[in-house]
Amino acid sequence: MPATYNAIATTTLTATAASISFTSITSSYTDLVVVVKAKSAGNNTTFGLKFNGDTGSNYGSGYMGGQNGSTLTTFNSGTSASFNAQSQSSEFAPNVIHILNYANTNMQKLMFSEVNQPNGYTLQYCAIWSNTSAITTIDVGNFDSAGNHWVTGTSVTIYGIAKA
Amino acid sequence: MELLGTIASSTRQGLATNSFESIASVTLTSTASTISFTSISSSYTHLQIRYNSRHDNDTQNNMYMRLNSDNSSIYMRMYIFTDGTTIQTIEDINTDAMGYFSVANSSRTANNFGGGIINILDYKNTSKNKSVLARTGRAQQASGTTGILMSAGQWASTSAVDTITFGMFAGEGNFVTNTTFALYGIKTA
Repeated sequence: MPATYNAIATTTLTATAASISFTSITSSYTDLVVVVKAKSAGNNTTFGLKFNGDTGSNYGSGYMGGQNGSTLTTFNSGTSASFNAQSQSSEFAPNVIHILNYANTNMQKLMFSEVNQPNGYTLQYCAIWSNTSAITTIDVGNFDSAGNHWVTGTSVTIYGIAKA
Repeated sequence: MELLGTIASSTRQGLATNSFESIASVTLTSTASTISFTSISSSYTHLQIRYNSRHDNDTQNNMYMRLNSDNSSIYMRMYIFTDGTTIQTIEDINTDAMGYFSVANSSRTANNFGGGIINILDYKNTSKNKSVLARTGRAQQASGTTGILMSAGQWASTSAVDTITFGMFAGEGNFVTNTTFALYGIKTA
C-alpha cells in the first residue's frame, strides 16, 4: 500500500507550451490532487483538464465566487473541465484541483478546486467528466484559445491520496 | 441498514507515517440509511472526510452529519450555494445536525454522484466547541443540475469526537451502492 498522500509526478516548463500531459497514471490511489501554478502568454484566464484523450463535449464546469465586492457564478458544458486562474501578470496563479475516486469505474468523475488570481478573483469550482472510465491520462492546458501558451516556469504537480 | 466504517489500523501497521493518514473507509455494496465511523482514534489533530455519494430519493440534494450520535439541538449550520445562476446563503441555528453536504439524488443520470471534502478541526480538543468547514457539490452536463456549496458548522460541545454519522435529512431515502466515504487524520508537528 502506498503512503497516504504522495507526489506522483511534476512538470515545470522550461519553454512555452500549450499543455502539460501526464500519462500512465497509477490506479493505486483513491483521489488525485492537481496543483497548478500557471501564467499565460496570452489574454485567456481559463484553462482545462481533459481525461484519457477525450476531446468530446463530455465535461461540465461551474463556479461561484467574487471579485472586488461582486459575486460571480456560472455553469457551462464543454470539451474540457474548465478552471480559472492563470495569469498574464508577474504572478503565477495558483489552483488546487481535487479529483475524487478517479479510478472508480462505477461513477462519473467529480472534481473541486479553489482558485485565487492576482487580479482579485476568488472562485470555488465544481466540475464533472461524464465518463465512468478510470482516469489514466490527464492533459492540462489552454484548449479554448489559440496562442495562449503557458510560459516558462508554469508547473503542474499531481498527488495521490489513498484510502484505507 | 447502518454501515460502519472499517478501521484501517490493522492494514497500516508497520508503515511509515506522515502528517496525512488514512483512518477508515466505507464503500457500500448495498443501500444504507446511515454511514458511520466509530471508535475514531485520538492520534490526530484534524479530521478530513472525502466522499462520493448518491441516494435513492428523488428530492433530497443534501445530507446531514452528526457527531458522537448527538441529535440534540446544539448544532449550527450555514452555507453559500449556487446552482450556476444565482448565489444564496442560509444559516440555521439550534439544529439537530450539521449540513448541508451535497449528494446526487435518484433523478440524476446513472453513475452520477455528488461529493465533497469535509474538515473537522481540533476534533479531540476538549476546550473547544467543534467547527466544521466543507466544500461539496454535484454536477452533470444538463443546465440547472449543478450545485456548489461551501458549508460551515459548529457542534456546541467540547467533547472529543469519536463517532461521525451521515444520513439523509428527514430520513428520506438511503445511500446507494458504490457510495464511498473515506476518513483521514491530519497531524500537526
